[in-house]
Amino acid sequence: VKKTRSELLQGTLELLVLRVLFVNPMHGWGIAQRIEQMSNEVFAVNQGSLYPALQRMKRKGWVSAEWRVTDNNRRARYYRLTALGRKQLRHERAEWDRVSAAVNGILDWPQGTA
Amino acid sequence: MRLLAELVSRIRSLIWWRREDADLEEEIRFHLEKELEKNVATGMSEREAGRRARLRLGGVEQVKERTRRARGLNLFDEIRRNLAQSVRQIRATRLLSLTAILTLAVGVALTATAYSVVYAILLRPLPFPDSNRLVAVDLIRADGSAGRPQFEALDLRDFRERQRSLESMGGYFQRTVSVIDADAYARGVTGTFVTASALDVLGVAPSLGRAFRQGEDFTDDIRHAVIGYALWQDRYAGRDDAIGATIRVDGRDLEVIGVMPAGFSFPGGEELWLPMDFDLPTTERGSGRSFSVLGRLNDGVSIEAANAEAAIIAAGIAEENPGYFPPLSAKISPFAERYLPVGITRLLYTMLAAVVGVLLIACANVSGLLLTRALIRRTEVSVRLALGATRSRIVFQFLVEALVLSIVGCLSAFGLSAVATRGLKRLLVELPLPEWVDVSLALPALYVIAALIVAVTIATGVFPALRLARTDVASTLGDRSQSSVSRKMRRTGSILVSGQIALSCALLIGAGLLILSVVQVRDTDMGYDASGVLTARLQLPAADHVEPIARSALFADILERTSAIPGVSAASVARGLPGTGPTFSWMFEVRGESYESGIYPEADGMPVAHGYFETMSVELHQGRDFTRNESRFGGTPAVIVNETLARRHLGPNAVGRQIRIGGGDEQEPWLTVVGVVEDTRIGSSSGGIGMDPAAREQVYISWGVAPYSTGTLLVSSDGDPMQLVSGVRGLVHDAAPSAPVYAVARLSDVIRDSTWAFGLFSIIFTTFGAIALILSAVGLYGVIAFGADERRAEMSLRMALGAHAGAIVRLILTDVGKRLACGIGIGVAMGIFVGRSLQSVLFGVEPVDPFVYTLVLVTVAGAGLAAGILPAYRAAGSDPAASLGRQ
Repeated sequence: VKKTRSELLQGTLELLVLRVLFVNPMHGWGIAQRIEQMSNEVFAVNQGSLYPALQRMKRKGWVSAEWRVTDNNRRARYYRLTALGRKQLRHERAEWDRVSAAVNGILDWPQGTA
Repeated sequence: MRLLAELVSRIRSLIWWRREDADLEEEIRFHLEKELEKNVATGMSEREAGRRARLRLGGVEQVKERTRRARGLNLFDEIRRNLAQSVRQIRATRLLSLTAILTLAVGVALTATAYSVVYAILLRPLPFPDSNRLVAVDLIRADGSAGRPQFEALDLRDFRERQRSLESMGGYFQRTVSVIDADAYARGVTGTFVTASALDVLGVAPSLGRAFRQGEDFTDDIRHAVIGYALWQDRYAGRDDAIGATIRVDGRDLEVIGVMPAGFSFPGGEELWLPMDFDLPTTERGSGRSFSVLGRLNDGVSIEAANAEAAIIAAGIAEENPGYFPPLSAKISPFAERYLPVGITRLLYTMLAAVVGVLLIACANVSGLLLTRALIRRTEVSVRLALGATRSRIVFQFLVEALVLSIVGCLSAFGLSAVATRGLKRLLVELPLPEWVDVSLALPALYVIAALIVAVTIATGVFPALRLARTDVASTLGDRSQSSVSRKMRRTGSILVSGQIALSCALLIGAGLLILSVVQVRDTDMGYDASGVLTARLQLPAADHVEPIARSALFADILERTSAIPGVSAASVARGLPGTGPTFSWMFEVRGESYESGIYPEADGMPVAHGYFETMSVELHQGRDFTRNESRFGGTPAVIVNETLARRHLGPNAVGRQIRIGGGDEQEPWLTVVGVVEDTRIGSSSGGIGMDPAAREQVYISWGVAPYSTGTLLVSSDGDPMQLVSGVRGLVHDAAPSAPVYAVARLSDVIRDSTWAFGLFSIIFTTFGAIALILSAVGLYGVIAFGADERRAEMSLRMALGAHAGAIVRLILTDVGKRLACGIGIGVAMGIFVGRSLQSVLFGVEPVDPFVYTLVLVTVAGAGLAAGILPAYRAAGSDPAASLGRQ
């Protein structure tokens, strides 16, 4: 089944990572897979941007990283949401809602509906 | 909290960079493996799966790099990696790097050393409070002509009363006085006679006791003395009871009233200060008892304003006393300048300019070297750009490399300049410099210069990187030699090289002119033969031989006895010391001639006894030597003049004519000219660098004209004059036990010392010139060698098409020639400018001396061609097939 994949919207990668990690800690590759799955394969995560983004979030204290053993006994670096990260998720979620509501408001404007 | 977390994370990554790197490595590897597994699961081959995984990630190294940067700009890490890379690069281009480091070290060290000397001599404040307000006050002739009218007691009084710009004024003069030591031996000590105000003007109070009070000076019955720290330690072992002690100076018992603090020296090297011993009420104008004047500017008054006022006052004094003065003016200058040898300021600043020239050459050279290096590496840069290195990263790496080079260079410069300064200090000891001059490395200057150089190096190091980083990768990789970037850089390199050649030309021209001057000075016929002559200063304590006749007789006695010593061919006494300048500068008047009011000719004057011309081997052209009678006080004084004076003022029959010293002073007697001698060089009046180039009027007046108590004993012998020393000392001790004999030396050494500074500066300039030339040759070599290498393909093609090796050599040498011609052309123009600014210190050499210019031209052209010939032959000798293949 061929699907068209879209690049993530600018600036949404961090929000999505925060949302994915809200469920449980995960390693980098896992995060990418999860985002793609959860978006019904609509979004393709730019893997090259993922690790720098994780590093940035770690620096800001939203996530913490630790080495753990995976199910099939391999070492992987797992990222976990911190309290600060949860707060940031709430904040970014609210921001997203506000912005998307505004965008939808414009698109749903009654006159001259497309 | 947030900030804190971020900070902790950054610091952690700074400290744990190695672990963080390893973590990242492993994380990426894990990611790729997972991706590969996933791809394999969809049915790809393992190889294809791996390729896709890497592609999906988008360049492993790039991701790593971006992640590292996201970690917070890790400067530490960045620098560490760049340093390692730089050291590798520097090692790889060992010769280039070493040359750059050495060039920087030499350039910075030379500049710092030269600046240290200039600072010590010209710029450092004098060791007196608020010394920037201390000024020297001098009378000068209003028409600017030579001659040094001097302050006398009444002039100082009048001047002080009228002026408003000075807070205080004082006068002083120095003379050797005889002090009787504790063991009853007479010792010659430099005494400074001062007005009571002089020490106040300086702003230094005695550390013990008091200074002179008004009224204790200007009397011939002086009773007090202030001693220096050294004398206090020496004579009184630093005890407080030195105050009130009696010291016998020139036969007068004086009471010690004060001790100056340790290190106090004014105006240089003395141990004893005495009040002015002229009796003011009986001192008339024109008495010839003159002294130097210093003053302290009022706060906020500029030297210019003070000068304007002083000129008016001096003119007024001259107008009111028409018999004594030609039209006068006055000059107020910073006090420190008074004791600097004339010409040294110009020489020192010229030296500084020369050194800055060398520094510029060094900078240009290093820039050229870095440019060459950058060009050599442009393929590497292109490859790295293609592999995903960011441009800022490449620029940063070049920056670190330049930083490493310049810092190593500057560190070497620190050591080098410390050594050089110490060496120069030892050499400069011989210069007649004031005591407060202490040459030591001026560290702040060194830091500033070093910082400047590091900045320049970085700028020049980064410039090519910026250019290279902007290049179109494909074009550089595709075509190695023809890219516009390298052409532009080569042009920059060419300009740098031409500039260097020009600067070295100018420096060498300056050096050549100075060297020629030294040779001229050394070869100049002094007009006398100094080789076998012994000189010694002799001081008759005034009070022990109060009677003028007795003093005069004592000199005659000493001369008599000296002449009788075996091996002595002639002996005489003179007031000054030949070779170190005239004793007096006199205005004179020829009987029967009329002069415009106040404008009288001037001559260098020296009182000498009979036998002077024989002792000095000065040829007598007309008339006769002084007689014994004329040398005796109370006899009839006479004069002998030199050729120049006779020719200019007396005509062919000079002997028998009469002249009067003092210009228009009716009270002075007419003196008969009894002889004419050849012109001699008794040195410049400043006693400083160089000697009077033009023959000047000279008047020798017979010793008997005044009852002198000090003089220079001159003894000529056939052998080494130093063998006569003990004999002379012995006979003086027999004749006058309390008279000190000091400053014993060969006359030839005295004269050599007086031209010594000249020699030193010519050596300094030659060194700079040589260094500059070597640096430029290296720079030229670099540019030519690189240019030839660049054009190897073209050359090979030419040779493959049948060009001779000779044609190739010619091609490259033409290139060298163009650059040389351009550099030399500009250099000669600069050289003319250098020559003109040196003119006042040159001796017997014109600023545009064809010999010097030709020599410099040949040297520079030779060095340039030598630098070009090696790469030319290498290019011509290369195998066309091989080098074409290499492309």
